[in-house]
Amino acid sequence: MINVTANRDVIKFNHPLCELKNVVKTYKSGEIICPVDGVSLRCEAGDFISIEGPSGIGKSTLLYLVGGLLQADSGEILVDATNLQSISEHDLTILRATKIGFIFQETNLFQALTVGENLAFPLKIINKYTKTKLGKADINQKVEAYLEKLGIGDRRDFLPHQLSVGQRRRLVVARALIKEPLLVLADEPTNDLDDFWASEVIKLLQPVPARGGALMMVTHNMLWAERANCRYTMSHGILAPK
Amino acid sequence: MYKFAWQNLSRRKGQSSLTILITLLTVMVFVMIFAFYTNFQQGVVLSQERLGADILVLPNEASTDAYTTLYTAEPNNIYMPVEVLDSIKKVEGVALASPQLFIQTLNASCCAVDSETRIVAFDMDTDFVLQPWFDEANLDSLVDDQIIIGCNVPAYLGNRVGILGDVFRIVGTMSPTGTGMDETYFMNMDVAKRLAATNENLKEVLPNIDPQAVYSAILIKVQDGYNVADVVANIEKADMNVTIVATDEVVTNMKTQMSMIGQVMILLWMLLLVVTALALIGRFTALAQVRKKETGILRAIGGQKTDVFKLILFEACFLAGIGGLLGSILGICAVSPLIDWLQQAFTFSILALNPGLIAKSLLLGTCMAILLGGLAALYPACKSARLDPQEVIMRGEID
Ligand SMILES: Nc1ncnc2c1ncn2[C@@H]1O[C@H](COP(=O)(O)OP(=O)(O)O)[C@@H](O)[C@H]1O
Ligand SMILES: [Mg+2]
Repeated sequence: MINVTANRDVIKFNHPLCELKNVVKTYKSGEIICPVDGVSLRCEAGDFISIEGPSGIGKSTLLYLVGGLLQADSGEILVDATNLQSISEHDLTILRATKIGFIFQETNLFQALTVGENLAFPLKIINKYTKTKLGKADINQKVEAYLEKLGIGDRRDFLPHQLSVGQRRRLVVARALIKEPLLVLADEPTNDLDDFWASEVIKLLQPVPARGGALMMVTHNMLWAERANCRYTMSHGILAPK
Repeated sequence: MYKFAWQNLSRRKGQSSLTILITLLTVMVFVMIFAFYTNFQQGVVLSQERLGADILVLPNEASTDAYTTLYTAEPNNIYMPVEVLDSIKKVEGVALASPQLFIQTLNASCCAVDSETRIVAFDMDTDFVLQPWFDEANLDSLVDDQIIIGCNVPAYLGNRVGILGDVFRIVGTMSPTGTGMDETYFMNMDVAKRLAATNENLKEVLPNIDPQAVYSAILIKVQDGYNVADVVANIEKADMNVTIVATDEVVTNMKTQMSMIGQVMILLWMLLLVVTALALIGRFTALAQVRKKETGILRAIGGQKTDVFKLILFEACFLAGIGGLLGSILGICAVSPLIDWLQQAFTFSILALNPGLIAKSLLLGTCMAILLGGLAALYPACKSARLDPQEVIMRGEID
């Protein structure tokens, strides 16, 4: 079983928050491609890692592997000392729910849920797995706070298709952050955003390492990449420090 | 998760209503067939029970028809000599035998009942068919101007009715039997004989009949321990030139005819069911396909495979259930006019729908729809649960 109690509050880890050991991933559907070919990486609590690289090189694939959404062919991926390959699908799902915040490259939202409901959704899922449950009022308060911070407070009862692309992007960021996960995986989170909102989003992401979590961000923007304490470039299936 | 399902359904109204409509129509047809058929079967069985006689002896005439006698109220002027009764009483296995005399009202008779309706005169001393009802109503016997009416006979002028020029007092209404008895006047045998002997108009309708010397039917109750078929055979052996009918045989015949019609209806309905099932499978598969990406997100955020499975199944069952409930209600509403219409077309009487049958139809229709929805969604739900989240999120648009 996964330990889902809030060890994100524990600042002193005696193990890295996330560790990749020689991870290989090959896609075999159709043309065989190997976007991740022996990646090793250590990510401690408090780390802000940026990953750059040309598109189609395998950056997203790497994040999916770390996020437990894709099985590696070989190597080891440990998140908070749990080996993702050695746990059941069920436990992996719980780990995703409780410890990982994924900001997808595309803005996927539940079309039938309002902005507020989309944002509350991850918290409700976490409630399924934890003993100390967030009450309705707490959830509401958090939702309000994030909507305010991202400037979509007045869009709470809108459906996703009634939002602009930029507003949707911000909502997706908020959805990953609202549960205050240990590890935030951000796949080009500032896409579709103007400079102002891009920097607002980065402002929201930066506290993640500061509170003892870790942030792994894929970006093409040098400006944001410079804020990271570890910068990597991806090429030929491996990560090279910059 | 149920709330999520509800939101999915209520905010995709067009999609949801279409699914509801599909199930609604199928269930409606089913409930109509079911309610009508069951109602009919119950009615037939009930008729026999309420009739109370095991065997019906009728004159051996060309116009004799047991079905007409039992299930319609049309005038049925058939006669046999009174001596038959004595012979029948002697037959082995006959416990009770009670004669009845059929006469009728006349169109021509002024200011009174204006259609031709059968009048059944019964013998107060030997009767066992109406007796239980008399006991229930605390009546001893019918005196001269008293009559009892079937439940469907309209009572004019309050509790009085004019028949063949005489005014009668209605002292009771029978409970429904689902037979011709429901539209019949019942009167004392002596009164009927007097009427038949004195009413000139009736004499015209019944020429050469001496009402004192004839009966129209003899109702027989078989002794305990005797087989109805054996007693019928015994009566036949006595060679009395009569038609002998076991009432359950009439009932059985009707049931057989009816069940054949029923089978055809069920067959057609099953075809409809198959079409509906295919339509629903198509709809749910398309729905799951459209929501592939959302399924991926649900899994990525921490929803289990079982959550996805339950979500789709629940949505399907819920929609189908609503369709089923509405369909059942509409079906029930539609079946009453159907019964009325058929009752006019064929002469048999059918009981009004009873609450038990209505409840049963609603329950059955709804459950059937839920089951249908669940089965149709089974494959799409399994498929969605097994989706690889990375694939659908990253490459959802493809295929
Ligand atoms: N499910 C998949 N099956 C086969 N190939 C895939 C799949 N997902 C991604 N790819 C391929 O893997 C390569 C890396 O993709 P991706 O990780 O999205 O790159 P990046 O995020 O760096 O642009 C691409 O060539 C892409 O087409
Ligand atoms: Mg990418």
